[in-house]
Amino acid sequence: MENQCIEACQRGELNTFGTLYEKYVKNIYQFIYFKVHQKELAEDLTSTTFMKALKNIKNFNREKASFKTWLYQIARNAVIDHYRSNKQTSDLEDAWGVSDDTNIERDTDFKMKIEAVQEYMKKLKPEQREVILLRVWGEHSFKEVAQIMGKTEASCKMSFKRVMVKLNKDFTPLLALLLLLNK
Amino acid sequence: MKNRIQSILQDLYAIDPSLKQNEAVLAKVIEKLLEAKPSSQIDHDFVAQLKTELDAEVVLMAEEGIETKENATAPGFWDNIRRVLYPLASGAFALILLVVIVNNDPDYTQEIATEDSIRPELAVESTEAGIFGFNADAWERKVFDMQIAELDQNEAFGALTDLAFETGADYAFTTAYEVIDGAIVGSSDPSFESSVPGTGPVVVSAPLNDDNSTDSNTPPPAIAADAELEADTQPETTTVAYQAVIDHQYAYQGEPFDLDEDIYVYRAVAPENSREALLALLLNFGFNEADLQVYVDLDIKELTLSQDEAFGYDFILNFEENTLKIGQNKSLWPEPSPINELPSIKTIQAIVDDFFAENNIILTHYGDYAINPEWLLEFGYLYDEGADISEAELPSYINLNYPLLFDQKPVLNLDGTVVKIEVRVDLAHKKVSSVKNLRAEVFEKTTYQSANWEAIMTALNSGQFYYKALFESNKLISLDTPEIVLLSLPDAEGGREFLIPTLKFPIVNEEGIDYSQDHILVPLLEEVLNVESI
Repeated sequence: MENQCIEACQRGELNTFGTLYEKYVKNIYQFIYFKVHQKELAEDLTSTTFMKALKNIKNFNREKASFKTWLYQIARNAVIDHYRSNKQTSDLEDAWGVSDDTNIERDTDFKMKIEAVQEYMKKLKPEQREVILLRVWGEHSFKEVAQIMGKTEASCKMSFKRVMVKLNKDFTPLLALLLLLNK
Repeated sequence: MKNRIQSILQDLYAIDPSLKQNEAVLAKVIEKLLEAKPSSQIDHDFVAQLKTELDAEVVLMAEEGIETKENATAPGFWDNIRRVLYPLASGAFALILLVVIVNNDPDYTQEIATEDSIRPELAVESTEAGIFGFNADAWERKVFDMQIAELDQNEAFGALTDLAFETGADYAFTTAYEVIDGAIVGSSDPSFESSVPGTGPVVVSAPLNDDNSTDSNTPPPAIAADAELEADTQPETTTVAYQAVIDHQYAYQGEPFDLDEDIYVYRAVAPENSREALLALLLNFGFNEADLQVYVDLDIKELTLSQDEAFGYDFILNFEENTLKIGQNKSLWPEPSPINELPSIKTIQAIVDDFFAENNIILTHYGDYAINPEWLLEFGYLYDEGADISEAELPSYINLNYPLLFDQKPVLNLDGTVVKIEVRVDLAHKKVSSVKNLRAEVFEKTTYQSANWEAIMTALNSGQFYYKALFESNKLISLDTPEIVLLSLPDAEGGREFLIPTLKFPIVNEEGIDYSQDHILVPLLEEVLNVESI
């Protein structure tokens, strides 16, 4: 069904794009929101993503990547472009590296929720963070994570393992402290 | 939440069972991560609003006349236009310009003819400015002598992480095999075979086909036990489709290899006023008096001009890709008679050289020709010394390939094939019948820091660079001393082409192993290697 929609779009029957939109909009929004931490910005970038996809779908080449991989790459680029176009944050790829004293806005509830893990997540590289966001928060299977990231399942699993080992190491002193305090 | 924690823990144990020792802390880490998950409910009003905006955009695009791939390139489309318009070419019309105008009506075409018969002339003659509408002499008329501009700033193209997506280098593939009594006897489905990319590290997302029901990591039964059977399951003969992820290790057996600290990365850019520049190239093919100015401002993607004379050519200009393709105007070429003798390679080369010289085609960045390997495979023996060709069916054409070389380095596609200009020579008429992939781009180059040897070996052994035709997992593959080539990679949105210095490692062909791929390609740029994520 998806392939038929894509082929139709590439033939110029763009009204079938709506089916692709409906299939992916929720996940794309979530993917972006977890990166930018702000509802309105996530909506803007989701909009940018689908507009770009619509305008460029004729250039999409299924032999190079799945549609899902392609779409997520557009979303990823939209986020990166957003931060790189902002002089104050030009070296950032997402909002995780932004300290709280900058003027970048975060939704209050997002900020409160991530408080306990923010410091650890900040230390990860953007790609490592992405594996965690997709597998743990996004609840995607590794097969889906691999598609989204354009990698093999094996390399995503390996990356996930390395991140967890790193977090395990970082968390251990904190947990030890908590245990001591609880005694 | 407990189920989620358990599910993630099981993932981890499947990857590395030794992690079970750290279960208490890992469970706590996962719990913390899950607790920290923000609510990400999407606003339904936003979804509806964006849908409305997209629908409006679709309407707008239709009104503006989006040109579809099919309309632009399908030969059938062109053939249909030609069938209608060619009869009009008789008599006074010497040149017919076929134009695809971007329009809602896909069949809309515009026919324009010049009044006088125009014979192709050498383009080195001066062209009167004004006939063209713009000063054509201002344009470089050495066709395809691509310029390379070195940029002052290092790493001027910025982060190239987008390209890592395209290389992916992760190689999973889906194919189908016929299995009889548990043994693979060959591919049973040519469409599967054709969907498998060529040699080299290839970007294929897993799974390859989104709608394919095959599971990933499912090798065929002769290799591992968990093969998934597809529809046709008969007791003796079975078609098995599987998607394999192959995880080989590589042993470097070559000489110590010195890497420069800085490497040049190239980026193709459309020349300034690219449309005019591309149109100006036609001056080299005798279109001096055609009023091509009308096409400068038209919103067209592709333009075809046909010479209306014996042995005339079609010239297809693609304004998006800045390319020119020259092909036979077949209706004007006499049907070739079978040939009795083959011209010598020297004669063939002279035919091509003359064609290039007459049409001012300067291939500065291209190397010496090689005869197309498929042609050689089929007909190469005819040129063997002492070969008896009296009974042989002689070919009607030969293809010569001119490889693109930058800094003396060949440029390869992701599938390991060489980027080249392809010239076909009609052996019966002893004329060039087509030239493909003539590009009118300019390139920029800037230096980047090269990945070091350690990073390359780490990336190589991370399992990212898979070997195409060896189905067993975990093979130890020996690699010989590499050469540096340039890998052509489009950016993520398929727009710009980058050329990335890349190591091409020959595979040492060990006895008893049937290697059909002879090399592994490893980009020399860390962000393309994606080594940070390893």
